[in-house]
This record gives sequence, structure tokens and C-alpha cells, in this order.
Amino acid sequence: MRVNRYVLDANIWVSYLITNNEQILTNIVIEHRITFYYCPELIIEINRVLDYPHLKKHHINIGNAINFIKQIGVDFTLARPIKSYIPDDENDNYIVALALQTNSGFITSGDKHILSQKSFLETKYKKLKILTKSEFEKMFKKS
Amino acid sequence: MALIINLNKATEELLQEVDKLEPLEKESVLAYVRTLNLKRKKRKPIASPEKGVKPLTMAQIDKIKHITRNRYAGK
Repeated sequence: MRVNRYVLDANIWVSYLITNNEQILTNIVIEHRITFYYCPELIIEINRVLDYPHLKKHHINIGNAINFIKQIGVDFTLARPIKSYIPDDENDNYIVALALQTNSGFITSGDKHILSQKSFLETKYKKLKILTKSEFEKMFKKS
Repeated sequence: MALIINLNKATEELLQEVDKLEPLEKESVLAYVRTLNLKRKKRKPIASPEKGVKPLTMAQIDKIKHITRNRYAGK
């Protein structure tokens, strides 16, 4: 079901992992039966960000972080070639491709280039919504 | 013994139902089960930030992502 399928970009995964807030994602999966899709390209990108020298002060166990993503998420191999969706940064195309190829209903992103294409993408792909992290969390807040 | 037989039967029926799902749906069910198991287990924290380290803003994380992309470009 499209509404239960999500793609989180590298920034979003990193923001939860470095603050030890990954249990928020665990709870969302369990309570709302959400599926998070990832692909090898996303894992490589998250690995590189977590390994960045500026983050050393966070003492991140990168192996555990990647293992966490692989435990709660579903691996997907992207079909190629990947189309151009984000003209400002072609490196972001794989995130949109991942969402479209897995029939996901949502991309949650903290990337300025993806967020700047929100209205274009939502107009072109009627069943796809682009969310910020706070919009994503609002969807699952208990009222 | 009867309980074990019943459990085995229930597990078999469950597996048969899962097998009927399309591949992505099947993976979703498995991810859900893995997540349930993960929540039950006691885990070491993924990050242990030093005292006084401020959490990064999304803009800062985005900047780091783009720096690392440039660093690894073509590799």
C-alpha cells in the first residue's frame, strides 16, 4: 500500500542516528505498520556522512547504525538508468527513483534541492508527497 | 507435545500466508518482525556524544552530505 511506504533521505536517517532518537523510527514502524525503503546508494551515503570528521565527537558506532537501518528497513535494488528528477543536484535523483520504483507515497527529506522541487514532483507524481522531518513526525503524533 | 504441534501448525499456516504476498509486501512483513525483535532486545546506543556537543541542525547535516559527496565524487 502506497500510503505505508516511505523513503527517508540520508540527512533524515543521520539526524535520528546521531541523536540516539532512532527509537522514534522503530515505534513508527511498529505502531503504524510503515515500511522504510533503502538502497545500496543510500547506505553508502549515510556511511560517508557518519564517518565525516566533524561527527567524531558524537562517537557513532557506524556498523550498528547501518545494521539498524537494515533491520527496520527493506532493501531495494534500483533499476537503471535512473532518470533526472532533481536538475539542481543529479546526485539526489536516486532518492526520487527509489520512492517511485517502490511505489512509496512519501519522501522525507532535509535536502534543500529535493525540498525545492516539492511542488514540481508532487504535481508530476500525484501519489508522491515530499515531507520535511517535522511534517513527517507530525503525521504520527498522537492526538 | 500438543502445544508444540499446534505452534508448528500455526507457524506453517503463517508462513503459507506470507508466501502468498508479492515480494515487496513479503519484505515489509519481515522488516516489521525484525523491528519487533529489535525493540525487545536491549541495544547499545548508536551514538554517545561527548558532553556539551550540540545536536546538528538539518542544514548542517545537509552541508556535510554535500561535502562528502564532493569528496567521494568519481570514486
